[in-house]
Amino acid sequence: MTNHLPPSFNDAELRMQLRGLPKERAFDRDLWQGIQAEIQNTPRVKNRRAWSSFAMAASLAFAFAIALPLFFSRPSVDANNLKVEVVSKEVNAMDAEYQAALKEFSSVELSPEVKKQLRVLDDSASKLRRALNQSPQSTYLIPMLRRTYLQRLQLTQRAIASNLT
Amino acid sequence: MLNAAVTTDYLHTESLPDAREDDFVLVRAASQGDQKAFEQLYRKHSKRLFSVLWRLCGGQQARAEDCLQEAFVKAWQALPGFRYESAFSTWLHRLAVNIALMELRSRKGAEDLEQDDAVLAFEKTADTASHQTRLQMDLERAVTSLPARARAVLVLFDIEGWTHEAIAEHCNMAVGSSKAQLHRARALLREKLGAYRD
Repeated sequence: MTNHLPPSFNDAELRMQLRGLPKERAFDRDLWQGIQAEIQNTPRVKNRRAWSSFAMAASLAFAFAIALPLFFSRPSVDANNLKVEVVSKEVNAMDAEYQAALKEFSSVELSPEVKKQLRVLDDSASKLRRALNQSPQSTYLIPMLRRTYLQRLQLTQRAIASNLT
Repeated sequence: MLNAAVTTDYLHTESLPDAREDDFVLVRAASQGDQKAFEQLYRKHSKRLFSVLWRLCGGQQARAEDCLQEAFVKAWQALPGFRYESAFSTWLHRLAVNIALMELRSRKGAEDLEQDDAVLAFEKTADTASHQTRLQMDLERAVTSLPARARAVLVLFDIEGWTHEAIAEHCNMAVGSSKAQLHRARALLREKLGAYRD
């Protein structure tokens, strides 16, 4: 960065100087205590109504997009622990989001045939989750669980759509 | 839409894959109620956010701190709705800027009557600073003394790298107005810098 601006500096020179200003600034008060006091009594926004198959797919894609790179790219001493922790956290998070999405459809009555198919998929998902809990290193199970969740969600949505039409 | 429109150094540095992944783990925990994780997010992002808010608030420390606190409280409330479609830092940055802009709008007309002690102290120390630091301080002083609307546009466009479209959306103005305000802000800035040199 130059040390001074010329007498008749142009927009680009001015902008360059402005972009060179510090990106961080310290402040006197530690605001965390105030923030903590407020958030303890603050209701949080829940936006489950907005769930859609697209959002669900995006969420699942996110879970794996972040879990798998972490899984393969950290060759530290604690790598195994990290893998287990990350995979476990993300699978749990994915599961929670999936359950939340399904809850939106819980009030809809489905035909016995559809229910039977859903039960088969639920059983599969349940077995995959159990297997992952017992052996978090078996990462090949993750894409299978993801596919099962997506199939389950898509089947539910198709069934609801056909009920509506 | 805004995510695509905003291109900043901030986004480039804070949205690197590792930073995003680290944030996402903390965001995930915080959105499930983990206050320790949220505190880590606060510690990590507060100084960066504060620099923007401080400039938007015209160098008024207490107002910028209030905005920062409000931004984190609002972020906590809205976190369960965070969709991971952008970096957390981008989302937080946008939320904080909105709060500061709302604050500026609510004080419209009263702002020019205020003179913050921190700004006065800042002006005094400028006299003893080294040449390079002096230039930065002159710039900061000139930016913070601009009229609120022109200042907001200059900070967001020239310092933060937002587009005029994004600024127009956030500031409730036409794109043309954003450009006009930027032109005005730069002219005033040159004037002030010239006066400091003399």
